[in-house]
Amino acid sequence: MIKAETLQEVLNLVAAAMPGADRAILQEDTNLYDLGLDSTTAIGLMLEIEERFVITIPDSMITDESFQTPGALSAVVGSLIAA
Amino acid sequence: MAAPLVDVLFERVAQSADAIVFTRGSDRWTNSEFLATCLRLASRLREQTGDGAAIAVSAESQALLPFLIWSTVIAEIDLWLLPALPAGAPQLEQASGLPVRIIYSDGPAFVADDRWQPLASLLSNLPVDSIHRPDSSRQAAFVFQTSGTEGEPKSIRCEHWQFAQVLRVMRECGALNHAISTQVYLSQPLPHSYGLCSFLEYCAAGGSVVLPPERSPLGPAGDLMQMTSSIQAIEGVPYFWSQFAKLRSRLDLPELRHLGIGGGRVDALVMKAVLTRFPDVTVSVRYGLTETPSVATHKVYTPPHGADWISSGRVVPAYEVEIQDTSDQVVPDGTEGEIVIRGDCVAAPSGILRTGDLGYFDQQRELVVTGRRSAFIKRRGFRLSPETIESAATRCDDVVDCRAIGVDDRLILEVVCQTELSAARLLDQLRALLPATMVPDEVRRVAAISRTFSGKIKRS
Repeated sequence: MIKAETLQEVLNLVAAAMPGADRAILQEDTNLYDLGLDSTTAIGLMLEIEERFVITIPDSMITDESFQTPGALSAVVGSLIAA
Repeated sequence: MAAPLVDVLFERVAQSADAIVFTRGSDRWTNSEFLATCLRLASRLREQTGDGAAIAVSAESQALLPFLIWSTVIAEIDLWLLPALPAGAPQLEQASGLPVRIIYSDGPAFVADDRWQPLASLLSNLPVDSIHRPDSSRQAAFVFQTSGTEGEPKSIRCEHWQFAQVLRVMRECGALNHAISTQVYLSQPLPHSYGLCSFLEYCAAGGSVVLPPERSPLGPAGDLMQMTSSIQAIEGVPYFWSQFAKLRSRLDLPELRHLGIGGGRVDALVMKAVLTRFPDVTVSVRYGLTETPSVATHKVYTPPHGADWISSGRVVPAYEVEIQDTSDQVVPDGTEGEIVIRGDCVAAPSGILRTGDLGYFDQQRELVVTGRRSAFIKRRGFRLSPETIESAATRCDDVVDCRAIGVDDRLILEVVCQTELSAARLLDQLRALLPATMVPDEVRRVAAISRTFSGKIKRS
């Protein structure tokens, strides 16, 4: 279960990292690669998420699937906050 | 005439049959295993193409490209190195016009063309008995498809003997010393001219090449986070080094001793960030174009590192480099003009390449590249370097990427920002970094900056 506030914050960070992504259309299951997520943006997004939630995403969790949707990213964040 | 390029491979096996020639993920090949496979593949490619026919490759994955590269050298077959082609890309139409017998690809099948073959099948069912031995004097080549920073895509044919000659000269003058027996991570794609050149350079110096496993959504810099820590050198273009700088604190590279930069100038702040994390490495800076295998000038910076990253180094003796004014006259050292490269190894008509780049020789006869002639923006009588403006802008808060353009005598800066753009604040910061003549008239926020296959900003 993803906390609503975690998801909202991740959605805000995604929108800030991807100027081409309209915040209004961003949903939990929006495919970020379809919106143009590339490696440079993914690096910036990861660092922003780590700073905002005061976490370090382990290398093993940095996968294509983890970055595919805001929901997947929120799940990663949630698992690290809970740990 | 230099020894044939294929001798690089035979020399490696003669020196150390069991040394690792390249690694990707958990797969690794010794010199002897690699050569044996390439000889068999060369035999099949020769059978399939006959004399004079060429092969093309378009691949996102680098895994099988080393085999294809060296097999076409052994078989003396032209290899067209194409950018990876996504499904439905208009370049597929362009590929249909290529004078090649086979197009290998790991992309979707190009159903309109029966020359299309899956790259994954490259090493399947290779002939056991039939081994091709190079014996002809045919001048086969690598053919690069460059997207061009300013104009139409073009094909550049660099013959194998030209690579062989430049590599021999680079070895003799010490320009490959950093690569000797070095395990290098090549971050840039092999179909890119810098990627292929650095691959051949490390092969020629007895180095061991590590290719990105292509697993991380963070790109080749992210792949480094998940790799073994035995990497001793890394080669990359400015785009890669920007990513590397952001991830520097996450990288565990205790053996790292050399960084190679190609494809353009890296921003000084990016280099500062990288070298703060890895202060003891040497750094090679190179200047060359696709038409000049491998490099025309080269310099290795040694620690302690300062802030001076201006020079691209001395001319590699395989080439002659001169600076000319607009009347094609050679100018004195210290005077800016167009960089012109000459020599047998230049892949251009008559061996003369007018680069379109501007630069000058400093007091040490080292080349300083200042920009591209046609990229300069003219505004109110001033000639402005977009690279200088962009370099300053990337130091400003929240600017991820940018491009300076001239429109109707106005200077416009397009920026990609991570937060809401404050044009007034950005212009204030630029006024502190740039002369008044170089401060933009307008700042526009854009979603992305259009770049070429090799990561350079598109200027047209």
